[in-house]
Amino acid sequence: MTKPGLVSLVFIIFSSYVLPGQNRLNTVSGHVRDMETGEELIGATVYTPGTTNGTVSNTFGYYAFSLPPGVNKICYSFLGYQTNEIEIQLKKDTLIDIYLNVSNTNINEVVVKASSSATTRIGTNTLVPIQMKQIPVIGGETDVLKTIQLLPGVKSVSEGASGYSVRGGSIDQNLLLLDDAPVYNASHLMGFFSVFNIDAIQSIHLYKAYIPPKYGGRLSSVLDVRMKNGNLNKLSVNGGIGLITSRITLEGPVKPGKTSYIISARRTYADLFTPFVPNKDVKNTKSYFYDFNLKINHRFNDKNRLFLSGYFGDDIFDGAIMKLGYGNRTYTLRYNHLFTPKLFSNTSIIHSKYKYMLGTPQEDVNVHDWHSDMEDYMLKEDLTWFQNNDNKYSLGGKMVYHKFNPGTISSSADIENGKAIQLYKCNALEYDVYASGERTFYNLFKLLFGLRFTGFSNIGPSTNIVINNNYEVIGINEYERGKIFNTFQNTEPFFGVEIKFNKQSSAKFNYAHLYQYMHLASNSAAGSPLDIWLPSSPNIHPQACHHVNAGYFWNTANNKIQASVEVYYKNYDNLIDFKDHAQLYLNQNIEAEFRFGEGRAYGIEWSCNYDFKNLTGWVSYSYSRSFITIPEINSGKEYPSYYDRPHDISIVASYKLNKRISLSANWVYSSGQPSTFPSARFVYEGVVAPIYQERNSNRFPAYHRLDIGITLKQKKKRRIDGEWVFSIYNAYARKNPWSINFVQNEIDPSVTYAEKLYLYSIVPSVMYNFKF
Amino acid sequence: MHNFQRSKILNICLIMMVFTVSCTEKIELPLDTTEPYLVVNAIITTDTAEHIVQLYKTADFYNSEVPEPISNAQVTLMARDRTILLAEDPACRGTYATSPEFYGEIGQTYILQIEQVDINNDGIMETYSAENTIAPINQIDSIKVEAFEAGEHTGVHVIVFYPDPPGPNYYLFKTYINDVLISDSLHEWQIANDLLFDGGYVNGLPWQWLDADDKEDERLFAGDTVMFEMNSIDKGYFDYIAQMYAEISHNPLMSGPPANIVPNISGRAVGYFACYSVSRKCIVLKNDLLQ
Repeated sequence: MTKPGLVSLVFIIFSSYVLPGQNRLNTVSGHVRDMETGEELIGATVYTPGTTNGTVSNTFGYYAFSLPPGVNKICYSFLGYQTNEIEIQLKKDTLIDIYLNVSNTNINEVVVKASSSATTRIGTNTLVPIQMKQIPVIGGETDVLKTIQLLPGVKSVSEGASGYSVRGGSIDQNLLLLDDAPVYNASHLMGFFSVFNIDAIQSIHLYKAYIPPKYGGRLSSVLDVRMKNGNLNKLSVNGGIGLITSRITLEGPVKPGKTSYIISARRTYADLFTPFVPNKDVKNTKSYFYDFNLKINHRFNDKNRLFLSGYFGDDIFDGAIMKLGYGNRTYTLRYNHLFTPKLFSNTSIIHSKYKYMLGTPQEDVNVHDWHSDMEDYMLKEDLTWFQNNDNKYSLGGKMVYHKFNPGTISSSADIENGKAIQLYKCNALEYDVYASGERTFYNLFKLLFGLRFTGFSNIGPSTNIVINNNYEVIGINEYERGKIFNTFQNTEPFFGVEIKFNKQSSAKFNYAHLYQYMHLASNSAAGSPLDIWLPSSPNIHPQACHHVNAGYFWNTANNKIQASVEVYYKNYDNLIDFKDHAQLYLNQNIEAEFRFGEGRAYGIEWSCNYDFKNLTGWVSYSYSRSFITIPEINSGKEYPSYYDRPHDISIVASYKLNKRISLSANWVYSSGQPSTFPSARFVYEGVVAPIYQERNSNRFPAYHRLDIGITLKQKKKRRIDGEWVFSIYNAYARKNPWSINFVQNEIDPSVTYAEKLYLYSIVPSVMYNFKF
Repeated sequence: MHNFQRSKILNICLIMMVFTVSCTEKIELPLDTTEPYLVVNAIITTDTAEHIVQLYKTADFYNSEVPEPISNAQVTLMARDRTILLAEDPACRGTYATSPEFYGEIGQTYILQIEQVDINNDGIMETYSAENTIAPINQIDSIKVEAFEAGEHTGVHVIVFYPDPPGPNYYLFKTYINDVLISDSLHEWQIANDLLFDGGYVNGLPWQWLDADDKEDERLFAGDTVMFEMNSIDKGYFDYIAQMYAEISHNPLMSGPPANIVPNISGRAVGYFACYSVSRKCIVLKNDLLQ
């Protein structure tokens, strides 16, 4: 869109628009909360029964809704909760905090109401722990990242990995937020677990198409994970004991109704048994992870609230030959303030750190140590103004200081003039300001629009290499503290249109132009903790994407079935891939290993969520493609990206047999990952070497898997609610390849054959969960 | 980074994968085929000896037959004003050799030319050429041999002392026991660059390790002679060997996408024309090192 065109569009949208004869409306506002715990519910629907008038509670459970004076009915509903309908006499702006009960099969009039077709945003998925806990998973412990990989358009990059691709984008194009703090590596135990502890989590929102402008900074998706605030009414304890991990959560009030806390801890304990293993290598090996989630919040009054939350987690591997450690720390301090019932403010101060180390044991003849870390310091402000039901506006911005310390590699080897390799440190400032809005016309036509100005500056102290057109390093520049030596500034327009045909169906369209300044040097294979994040710099320009989405949404059977079809097209600039034989690790000149080009991705996704009395789940199918063209790679010819998996099917179902027993199953199918297989061989000094043709021109066999689970609830004994969860991962024991290697026969080295490495065939597990 | 360190970093990931119980299984996987390439394995060193150039063809990936040699090629070696024609060994087709009096000189650039070859059988003769220069080398001062333990494994390190010349240097190491080359395949070679000690004195680095547990020919006894060979190679050959390691090691966690190993030969050819200088040092073992 041309700039004048954009400006006039913005002008038309923002220009005052009042319906003739419209009465003065009153605002009903407040929080939607869980009756038992006092926890705010994010994404609860608030609507007038029998109409399509409605709104959704924000990330702090706050809603505001306009109604005419007089007697009004309001319905509050949320997935997994009983709908609450109230009737009020409105004379002025009114504050109503509403409490919802968890739905329970003992009560007959249960209504688990899904959101209506009109409130569903394009390419958005919301998950709550209650729903996720019904899905069988490996190890028996519900995992956020494994669950979202079952959603349409989201694909696991490899078996067991926590990295995922959204609509053909790479792993680093996903922003993962835990209470607004970015998480740079969300994996535990090489990706088999994620850092998100389900007991400490309140809700998860995944944005695949419509990325609200308050986020930004990533091209493909945002996963917004919100921690629980803690039970405001009474102390409660819950936890789980499993074969691999155990976890415990304590939450309760410090001052009932005012201040509450939550503490959650988790640890693996296989290492506690290794001393009993006869093998000396295993005996001396320690391998475990632990994490803590902490949060405390205080309500000063209805208008002011403060939250402090944190996450601390580490993975440790200490073996005879090697030691490895990695972990995240995040801290978030947030302050919510209501200027008026219509004007909501959230201010956050955030710190996030990811670090890892790799080394040899101290007694080794040749000790090596590699320490690396990266940190973010962020200040963020978001203002939301609910003008009335038809018009909402947001305004905000943030400032982030990124610190990168890619690492120092020291060697104790007995060398005179021995040197440590210092990978170049660098720093950067990222900042943005946005304004966005929603306007509804005649209750059937909604416009969404926004504009984000983003900036990214490389700032000293930094060391930056100078690369010529042949990617040769021709110099090194050192910049002193505070010196800004390179800046990118961009404008990201966004607009969308939603048309409501009737109560059941709607169509949605949106367009966004996005930029990304942070890049992950990843070979895309699996959850290696040795992530190398790099900022944009004079050598690496920001990745950019034009993103177009359209969808049709249709609800039927009293909203018990929600169907949708969505199409998308993405056009990328400055996409990154590695040159052949790139040296990613311990390379001072890593920026010279990148090559840049264009990409495109497109696809169509069908999905159907169903939510009957005893049977819930979803079915989805997507057809999608993703390609890259880089002049220096594959002779400049377009090739499928690593994330190109044309066919993808997910079927997820859980069935409540009776009060105590529920059954669940999911089946996934996806085309095999693209790969490069050899087409010829030659023998050199006793070794058979491969010769390849085009990059990613071959494909692994298709991936498919069935998981089943059964949950048995115990009768309540001495106030303890207990349940056993039995699950079988990969029930029909399909040996899905994790990698395919071409190997020489050990006995007859002239013979070469293909060999697949698979991680699991069938994995049964059991977990006991309790709550009191 | 030298290969030893690299292999350690790779190890960790392998260990962690094993920890989560992975399995391997042979699979039937049809592969594409392609027209053959010329394969060149040519080495010129500072030793006075017959220097060999081997020529043969690539094969389909699953073809386990002996590579088809290229006979009747015209193989010439050029340096300054000198041109040597290499003669094909009548007993061993595809193998071309210099005279036994030939030796390479440090600093000298050599050009290898291969003519009268028709790899793709289209009736048109092709010409291939390659160029390389012998890098300088400092002599090894001394070596020693020490036993080591890593977990349950025991082995022997060959520890080396020498001054590294200033500027980037790349090394290829091989070891002989009683005059028998035990680093007899690329798997057992060791390579190193001098990033961590450029221009310094290498005061004892374990440049070769011998696997006493698994390899019978690498066990040492009192009276054995260990000869360590240090070769100063060019960056291209260092990269070539490193790329070989990367393509045959099966660790998707650490390596980039599969890519062809970069030869230094023009045309549709693979392999390498390596030219390097050599330094050797011997030691006679007085006692058994391992129980």
